Amino acid sequence: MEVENRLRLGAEMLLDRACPEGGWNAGDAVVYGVPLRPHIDATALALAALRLHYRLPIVRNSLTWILDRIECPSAYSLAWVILAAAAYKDVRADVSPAIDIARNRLAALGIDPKTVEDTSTIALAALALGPDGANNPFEVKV
Amino acid sequence: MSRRIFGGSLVAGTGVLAVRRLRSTGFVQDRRKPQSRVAILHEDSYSGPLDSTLIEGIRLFDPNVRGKTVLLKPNLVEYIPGAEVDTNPRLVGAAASAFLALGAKTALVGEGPGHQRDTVLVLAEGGLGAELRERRIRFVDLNRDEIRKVPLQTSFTGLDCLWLPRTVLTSDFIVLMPKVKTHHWGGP
Repeated sequence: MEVENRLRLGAEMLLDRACPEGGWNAGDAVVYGVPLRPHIDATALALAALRLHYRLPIVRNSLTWILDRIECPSAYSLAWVILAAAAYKDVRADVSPAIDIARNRLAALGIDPKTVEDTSTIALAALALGPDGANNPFEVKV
Repeated sequence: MSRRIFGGSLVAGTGVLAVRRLRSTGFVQDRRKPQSRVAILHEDSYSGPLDSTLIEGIRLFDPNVRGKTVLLKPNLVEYIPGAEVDTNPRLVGAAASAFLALGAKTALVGEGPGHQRDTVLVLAEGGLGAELRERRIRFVDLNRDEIRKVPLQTSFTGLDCLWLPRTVLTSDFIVLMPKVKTHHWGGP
């Protein structure tokens, strides 16, 4: 019961902090009446956590927003897009093609552990480029 | 000009004249150093000859960077289209080249964005990544750099140590390159 309450509270907080047009950033969505831009990585993390709330328009809009970012030049953010979107394959037909494009792009970026100093980028890229259907540690099972 | 501003200007102007008068009579000691620690260099735009302007400007202070490792620390917050919130990439690149031209062994650029976790994305979107690649200048992500424990000399903060990026600690000369701007909480 306690776990369920905490999960509900966490989801409520994420939904409260969503940017007006979809997506999330690292802090407030609106400051002094000015809406702030969402960030790819923060949006991916929130989407991974909110799979069970897909019926909500803000979650659907956020998924659309992040699927439009698959040309992202950063391996870190691109890996997050792939890992977060994977849980939504069954709810929208455009998710799987977008993930395929993102995986190809991520592979083409050439993640070389000798040159990429950030270990979290290497780990995320390895997970995102793993075999399709492999265990995704960030996926919320429906 | 409002009456209030005019009144303030009048008082300030009178004060300046009074101080000049007192200096000339010897009542006020002129504590200014023979050479100012501040230089204002003129450029009409970021597309101007920044490299040569900066070389001339840095030479005014003769900082002796020969053989040293110079770390440039720009203001890199996040990329917002149409809003200049980061130190201009051309200025950062030109400063790095200027220090190398003045004999620095290495010129590095290091920063840890405060709003964006993805530093590579900020570098790509804002153009600093391309600028540094073109000039063959290395960037260090200070948010992810190796850190070292540094004991503090005083205990005013209640802390006994800080963990600081290795790149900062191993650099001989650190140049802060802030971006003058208003904060978004203060209005446009």
